[in-house]
Amino acid sequence: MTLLQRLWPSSLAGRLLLTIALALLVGQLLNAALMVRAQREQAMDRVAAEAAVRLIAATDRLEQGRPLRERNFGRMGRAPGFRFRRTDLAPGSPVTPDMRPIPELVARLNEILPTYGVPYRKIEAVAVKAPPRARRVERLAAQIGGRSDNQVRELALIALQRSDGQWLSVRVPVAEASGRIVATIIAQTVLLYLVMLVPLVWLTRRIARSMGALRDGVAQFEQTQQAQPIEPSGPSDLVDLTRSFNAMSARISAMLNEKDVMLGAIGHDLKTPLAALRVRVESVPDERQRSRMVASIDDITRTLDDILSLARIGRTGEVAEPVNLVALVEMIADEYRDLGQDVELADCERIVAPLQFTWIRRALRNVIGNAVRYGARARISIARQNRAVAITIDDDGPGIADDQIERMFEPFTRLEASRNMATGGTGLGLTLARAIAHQHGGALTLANRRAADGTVEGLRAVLTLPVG
Amino acid sequence: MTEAPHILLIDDEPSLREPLAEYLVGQGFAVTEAGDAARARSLMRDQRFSILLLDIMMPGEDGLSLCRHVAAQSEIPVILLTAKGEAMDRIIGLEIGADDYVVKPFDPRELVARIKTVLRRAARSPQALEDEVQGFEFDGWRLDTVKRRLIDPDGALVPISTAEFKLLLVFCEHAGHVLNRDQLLDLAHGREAHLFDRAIDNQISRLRKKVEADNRTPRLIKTVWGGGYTLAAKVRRLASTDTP
Repeated sequence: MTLLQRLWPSSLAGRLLLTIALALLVGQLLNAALMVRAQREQAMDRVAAEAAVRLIAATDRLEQGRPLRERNFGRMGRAPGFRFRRTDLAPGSPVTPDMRPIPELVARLNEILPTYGVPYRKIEAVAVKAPPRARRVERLAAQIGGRSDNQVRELALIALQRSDGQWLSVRVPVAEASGRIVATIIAQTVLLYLVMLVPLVWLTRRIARSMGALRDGVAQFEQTQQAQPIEPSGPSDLVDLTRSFNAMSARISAMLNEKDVMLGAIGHDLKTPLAALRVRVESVPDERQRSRMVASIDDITRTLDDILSLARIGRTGEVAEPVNLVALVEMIADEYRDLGQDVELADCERIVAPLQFTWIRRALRNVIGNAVRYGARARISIARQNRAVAITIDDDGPGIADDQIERMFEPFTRLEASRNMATGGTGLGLTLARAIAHQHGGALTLANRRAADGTVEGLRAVLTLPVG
Repeated sequence: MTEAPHILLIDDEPSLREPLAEYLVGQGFAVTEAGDAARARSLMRDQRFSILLLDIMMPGEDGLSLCRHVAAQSEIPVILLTAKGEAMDRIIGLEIGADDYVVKPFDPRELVARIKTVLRRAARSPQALEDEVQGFEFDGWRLDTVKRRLIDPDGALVPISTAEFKLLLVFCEHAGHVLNRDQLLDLAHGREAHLFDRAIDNQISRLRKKVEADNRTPRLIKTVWGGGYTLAAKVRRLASTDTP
């Protein structure tokens, strides 16, 4: 799993919240970028204005024949930092190719200067790094002037070629984008998060709760197969979904009930003639013939019972009650021992689990019966594992080909060699046992037991059931 | 010799009703047949029957409804003939007033045995029926004789075989008495049982495994040297009003 997949929440509420938070963050970043840009434009306007004023003033002076710098300016001219704002007149351009040009400044000045009648041939604007002293001075100036948002790292150098070919240049400090804007954006984002996310969390949790109710209802239906309408809640989509589910579960439940009635009728209609036959068999004088007929009737009855049980599983209304599982296994082991079978049961502490007693008894009889029937003997052990109990039944039989094992759980599947009534069984035993295990929230698995050299020593069946 | 018990057999299916009636007559009963509940009701107005054999699933009024009517109106015992075999049926059947039930297809001999048991029980005085034991309680354990099951002191069902149940029942009924193997065999399985003495020892050891905390030093089912076994616990009889 990639990091992204791991960070991506799995629940609806989580995904919704994360998506909205991310979208909000992107929006705020865009907003911040726009604001920084606007501030930069503003700074450029200021630089352009100052440069224009000084260039116009210098041009005026030069035209009036006055010196570029006033003499009585002296003191101020010597003041620290003032020279960073100096205006120069030189025969060549001070701009060198390694300096970074600022085209937007050129564009602005090209707009301003002609309106004030300043003649020029060419104008160039570049950024130069401000000497450290300039920063200190600007900071001082900022404190004196009460402006706190200026941080000077760069100076703009604007050079203008006059009509006589000489270059007039001015240096103007460029204000940095202030850190305050970032703080503003962060504060804004946090505020937005609070304003939007709190109701969003509330809303998504409400939706999640409605969905949770629906999910629980579905799980409940899956378990009991009894339709219990879920109270629709939440947004209309969810209400519609809940209604549809209610209708569907009611329909399925009705179908299942119909099936039960039908099976009951089939059971009755087949068992009544069987009962008639069973009564008539009593008048057969030949003892051997009679016992064979009785055995056949018993076989038919057993198969019929297995089919009906499989169809009715989970719908008998038998409630789970605490059962001493170890005593139950012991009782079944004793039953097989009384029939002369080899059944071993390892000692085990008392384990009580909520079980549908007659069903689990049936599942265990089927699995243990298979072990003694096909595997010569059954060795049973019961072990508690956290919140479950595992009943392991080992036999010493030939095992089952690995690719055939899952097929053993399909109805009417039997190993070919044993497909006759002499070994008993209907081919429904394992199907029924697994269905019963699932009905209890447990599982039934089969696997070959192998010796160290890989030869099959027998089959192992494990029935797992939840405890409490 | 007293008059043969008169059975009213009610089943809508003649293919079963007729041979069954024949068989029961062969077993020494007097049998009257009815094809539905209405016919049965009219027959019961005119005659007295010893017992009803009643099919549950019948067109028109079903067997359960008729059974409820009979249980409310008279003392005639009812055995239900049912196609279903789930444990629920037993409870439902007994709650609506049936005395017993058999599952189709039943062994006719077993049906006869059940009929005889139910008739014997019905012959007892009403007072005896009133006092009939519903179960026993000993050392926190409960032996429910209606549902035929054993509940441990923590309320968990402890599955036991029919033989073990009968044996425990004998111990409860004779609490404090020492019973030898012959007596236990007789009381638990009847004289006709073809069981060896060893079988009793085996059942006792199985029973101990289930009820004793330590089956090496049994505290409840004690061995009496030279005598036999005894249930060494105070046993309380539970009447119908006591069972929860």
